[in-house]
Amino acid sequence: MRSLCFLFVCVCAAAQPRYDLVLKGGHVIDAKSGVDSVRDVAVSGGRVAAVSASIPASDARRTIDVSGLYVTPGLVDMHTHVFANSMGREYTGEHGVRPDGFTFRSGVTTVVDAGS
Amino acid sequence: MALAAGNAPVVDSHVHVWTSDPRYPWAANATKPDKDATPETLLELMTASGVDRTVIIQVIYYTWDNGYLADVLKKYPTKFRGVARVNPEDPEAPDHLSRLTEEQGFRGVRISPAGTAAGDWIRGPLMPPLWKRCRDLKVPMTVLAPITRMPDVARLADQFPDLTIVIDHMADSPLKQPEQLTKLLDLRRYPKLFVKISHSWSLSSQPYPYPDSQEQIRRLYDTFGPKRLMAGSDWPLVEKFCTYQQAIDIARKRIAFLSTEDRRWICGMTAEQVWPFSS
Repeated sequence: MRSLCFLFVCVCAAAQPRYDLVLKGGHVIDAKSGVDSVRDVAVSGGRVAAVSASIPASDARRTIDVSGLYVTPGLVDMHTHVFANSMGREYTGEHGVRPDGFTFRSGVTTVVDAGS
Repeated sequence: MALAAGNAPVVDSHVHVWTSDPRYPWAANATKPDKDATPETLLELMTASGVDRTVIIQVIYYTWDNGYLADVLKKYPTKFRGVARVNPEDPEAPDHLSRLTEEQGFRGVRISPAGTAAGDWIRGPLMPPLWKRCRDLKVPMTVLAPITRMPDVARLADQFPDLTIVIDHMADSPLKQPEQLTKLLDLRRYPKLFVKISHSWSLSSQPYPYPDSQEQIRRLYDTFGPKRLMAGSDWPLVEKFCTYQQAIDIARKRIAFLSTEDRRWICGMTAEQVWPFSS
């Protein structure tokens, strides 16, 4: 009976996907590692766990087809003016940029505000 | 002439023009734009995008000197309507507005109180005379302000029920704080108050056509109806986000819940009511 329980636990452990997420078929550009080609990217625990020509979908809880898209580390925008309000007593609306419009939706995860 | 479905005019309710020219000096504390935004460029874009006419809003770079826009209006009287700026903290602002309206052909004024205490002049004693002059001149009062200023607009609207009021850019109400929009929705009780559904491009966290902004537009539509909503491109500032054509196409094609008749109003007929070209 003990052997059967051990086997059951082993089978359950084996059924657990290795990764939380796999991005399949994207064009990976990573200057630091020199990758510039179509690759699958696996994520586990919020970190990139593997980059490979092919990672089986069965290895992940969730798979997203990103073919035709670029996959990069978060981009850094070195010069922004993030504000939506300027000129003292006057509201100026659109003369700076709002962070939502110029960050995550275009792949930027870090901005440097050069004065707002 | 490019026409929307049903032969309604297509009117872009919100653009700016400027030029770097010593005859039209920039305001001392203004951002100096790095390239011109001329009416000739705008006219080319309008033709390519099927836009018949536009409403040009005096840009803040000149603050209260409306000279360049006055010359543009004079040069292209059938294509543009103009909204001026006057110094809201100048006791003579009502008289300036009268001259701009009666002598230079402007159709209304825009005020833009900051959301901070620095913009509290909208609560001050100089506002009622300016709003009264607008009403007497029968030109619209346009307000560019963050959503937190809408109660201040209501207090003035209560005093001038006959005045046409336009709220710019959905009051830039943040999409991630949907409860804030009620401050604008509460203004439904003023039947002569209109709302521009622009700035979805900067409020959104998603790429074009900014689908996460449609719920906010839908709430405005359900509250005000298409005859009190206007599309506007905010050209050339919108080009930071998308092309002019794309900006025009948001209301014309990309808001799924609008009927053909709704689009006729939002893309032109509402603006035509507020800034008639026949007058």
